[in-house]
Amino acid sequence: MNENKLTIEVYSSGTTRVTGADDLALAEQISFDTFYPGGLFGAASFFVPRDPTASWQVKMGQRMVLRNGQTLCWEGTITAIGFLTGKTPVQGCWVEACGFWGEVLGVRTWQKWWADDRITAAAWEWQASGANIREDWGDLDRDNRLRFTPKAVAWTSGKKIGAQYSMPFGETVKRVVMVWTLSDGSL
Amino acid sequence: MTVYNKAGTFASPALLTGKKQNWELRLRDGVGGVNIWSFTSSGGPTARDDTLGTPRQILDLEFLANANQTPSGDDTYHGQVTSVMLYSETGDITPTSIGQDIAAKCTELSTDQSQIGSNTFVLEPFITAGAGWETMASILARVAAYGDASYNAWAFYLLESEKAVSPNGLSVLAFAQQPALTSFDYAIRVDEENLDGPILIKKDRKSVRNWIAVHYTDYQGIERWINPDQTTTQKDTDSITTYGQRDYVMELGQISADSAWNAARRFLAQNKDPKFYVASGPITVKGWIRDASGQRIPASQIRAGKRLKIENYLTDEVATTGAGLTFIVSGTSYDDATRTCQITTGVPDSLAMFLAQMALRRGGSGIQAPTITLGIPPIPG
Repeated sequence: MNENKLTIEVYSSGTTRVTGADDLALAEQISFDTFYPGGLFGAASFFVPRDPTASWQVKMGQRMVLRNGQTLCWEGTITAIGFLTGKTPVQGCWVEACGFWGEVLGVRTWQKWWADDRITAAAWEWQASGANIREDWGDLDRDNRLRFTPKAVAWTSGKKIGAQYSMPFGETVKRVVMVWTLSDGSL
Repeated sequence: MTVYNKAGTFASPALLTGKKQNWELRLRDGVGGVNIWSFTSSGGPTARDDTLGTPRQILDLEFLANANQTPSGDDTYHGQVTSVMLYSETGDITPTSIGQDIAAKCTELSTDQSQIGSNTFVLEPFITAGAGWETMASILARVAAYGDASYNAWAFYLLESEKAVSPNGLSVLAFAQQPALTSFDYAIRVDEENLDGPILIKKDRKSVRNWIAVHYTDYQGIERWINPDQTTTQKDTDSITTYGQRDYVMELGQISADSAWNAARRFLAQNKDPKFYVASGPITVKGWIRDASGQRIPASQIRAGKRLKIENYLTDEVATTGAGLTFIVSGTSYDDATRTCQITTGVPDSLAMFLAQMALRRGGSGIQAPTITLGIPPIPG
């Protein structure tokens, strides 16, 4: 008894099935992978005997589902279609596909600092210019702290030294936690 | 009396070196033109925890003079911040919150986040690798590698789109604790008809470690050693009797004494006995496999992330009749032409969670990033 009778479904968008691809029922050499953690669906491929020069509604980028009866066995997106032609006993189309872990989460990137405790110059940039900035009038110590120490020069009111923190483009600082200390000579 | 400072300009006697001067330390939203906080007289160390009314990409930490004055140039006058943490979210940063952020960021995924389980382990600091761009798969794998507060192994994965509350063809991001090996989903016997080919299951003493020395630095910066010969908890005498003394030195970096002892005990518990593993490569079944209730499951429906029990292997070794061996299915490869499914197995590693969490607390050093599997088909040659 064959308990594995796979069928192939291809969707043009959302939950809309591709029409005019009845030859998917002829597919052979179907194989697919699952993996964990991550996954669950890895690579999949199959071959459809057909005239490779004929128009086909199956396209790259379409969602593909493999089922055994009503049970979904694999889901992903078509990544490549190969056309087997020339001097060969059987002509047809090779379809390769990939699960969404690889095709979405493996190709999308993000630069985001959820919680950033860096105090290096890469995070807090010493300000060399700007309104009222006097970069030569003080120092910044980054030894487990960000400490400003003014140099022994004549400061005029309103002048300052500083460091600037910048989130990546598109991101914002929403919360700041730090411990401050100020010494004005009165202690 | 007119007093001049070193630069030859006028200075008030009250503001001379060593006297109180008018300095200000402030965290400022320069775009909005408002201070997040500002202090103008000696104080601290005092903790601040500020949620910004208007989130900003840029903040300025500034030290400025509020009078004409000449400081001494030493530490008499200074402003500083420590224990700095800047957040791009207002809530706690947890594996769950990061998973939810990524699910929302990737519009190619379902908006249904009901499969992202609650894991409240506080994951701070946490930034994308190297402070640069990182794939979502890599971020999720790193997040999952920390496990939870009880060092349980967790995993992110994508469920089929039909699992969404309102299916629309988009996969559903899931996050859950890895299944405990106290139960199982699939079962085979080594003499079962559907088993295709031999299985080599190894129990290897080469990995046994039963005498665990620890080297760490305490929070005062003092190097410490734990010598197993000075204590009974860092070595296992039964294991030493059976397999000989097999030493291991753990390098733990800067942690507390309690954490160092805890790490050593965990490592000892996990490594004092030989481990079983499938050494013959994947286990291949043909046509079907049994589920926990004995019903047949078609081989095409075997899925990674489930548990496989080998029921009748070396029951004397595990001291419980019929106990068998249970593994996590880490991979499957189904071939419809032969109706065979190759099953690759593994086990969760709670010690890896523990070490990763310690590395997080001391700045993320010393722990390798987890291997990222994408399941992308090979490029045809």
